[in-house]
Amino acid sequence: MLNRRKNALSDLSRSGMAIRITIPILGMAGMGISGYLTYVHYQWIEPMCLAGMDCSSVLFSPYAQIWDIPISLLGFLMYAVLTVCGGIFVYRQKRYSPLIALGIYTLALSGTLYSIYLIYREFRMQAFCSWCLGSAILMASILVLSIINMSAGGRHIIEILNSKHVKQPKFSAMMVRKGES
Amino acid sequence: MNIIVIPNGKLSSWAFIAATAIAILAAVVLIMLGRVSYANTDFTPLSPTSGSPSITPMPTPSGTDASDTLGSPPIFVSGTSIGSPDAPVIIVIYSDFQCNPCQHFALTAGKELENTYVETGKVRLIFKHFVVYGEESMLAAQAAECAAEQNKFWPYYYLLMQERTSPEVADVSVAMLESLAQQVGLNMATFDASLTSGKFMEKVIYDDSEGRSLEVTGTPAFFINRIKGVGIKPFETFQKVIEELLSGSIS
Repeated sequence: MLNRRKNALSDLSRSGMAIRITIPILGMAGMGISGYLTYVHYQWIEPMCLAGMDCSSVLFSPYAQIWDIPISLLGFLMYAVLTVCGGIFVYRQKRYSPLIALGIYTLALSGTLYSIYLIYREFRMQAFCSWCLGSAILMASILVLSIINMSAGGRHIIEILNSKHVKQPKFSAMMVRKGES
Repeated sequence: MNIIVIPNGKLSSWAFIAATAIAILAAVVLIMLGRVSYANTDFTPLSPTSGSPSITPMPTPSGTDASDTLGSPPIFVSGTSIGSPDAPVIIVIYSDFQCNPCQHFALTAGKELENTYVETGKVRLIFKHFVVYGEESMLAAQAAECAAEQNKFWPYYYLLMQERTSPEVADVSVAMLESLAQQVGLNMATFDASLTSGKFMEKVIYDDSEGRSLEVTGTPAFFINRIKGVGIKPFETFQKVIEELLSGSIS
């Protein structure tokens, strides 16, 4: 019984940690994309773009900025916060912080919704930006991971890690019986 | 629904619902801010103390080039200016031949402005040089002035904007500019003589200095009568301002 619990704990910890490590990795990738787009915005240079797409039209469109602030800069800040929060999860390893998980979820959801709006604008403009689509995929991925982290990774890991709190009487009793034998 | 679990208990599903609501609200606020900024700050009316670009009067129609399209009104062209001398709206464009947003403007909103408003005599476009990308931009600007000398600035402008790639690709050369001049049908002897003499360098520097004195911070920059704007704008944005100026609802 104890070994089964240890194995289950180990498996869930591994999957949970994989999720938690992936969030800051995706966040850093997002920082790279949005940082590049911010550089393009301020330098007025032609962005690299996949064939068949029109990144310039999208990036220099009025929808690419809110007053004088490029939305890529807002995206960079958002990814930076997500990276830091994800990094805290990794750093703290098995200590699950629901508030940070909730923060990641909130940021990722708002980022994903805004990305969906921007993709809608691209459809209206009939111009698509590969970087923006890539960023939207990254943000949506972080959102999915944050939900998994909260609903499965977080809950199960914490429940099992804290099983001595949750099911302490039975667990202790079993330990005592094993010790006696 | 117990979504979030902490060691000492469970956060209720209300936390999850509240976080979702906050996220949706944040996204909606961002979208609304974007729309407000799009609607209100594309062009800024100049304050009474602000300067405005100098505008050279158009010569008499006898000295201009008329459209040869049967039935369409004449389009007056003079130097780097196109449109009726009596047009109620004057748009001054500060632009660099190597700037990507300038290229985008030329091939999208610029073309539409010409077709919709310049040809109908409502708008006069005046091109001015604002040199951002160094020697090659300066060379291209002088070549464009050489084309303007032969009253072919606008076809040369559109062709150059169409053919150039980006500031990172050093594709603006004398050979390239001459090739474009040939395509537009310029007198090559005159073009070469004017370009090599550098006779229009002073004109380019004057435009550039004037733009800087008017606090042009990027290209393309526009002065629509006394309303200023910088960066890529869709045709609809110009249309909105022009219609308001024509109707007299703004001045």
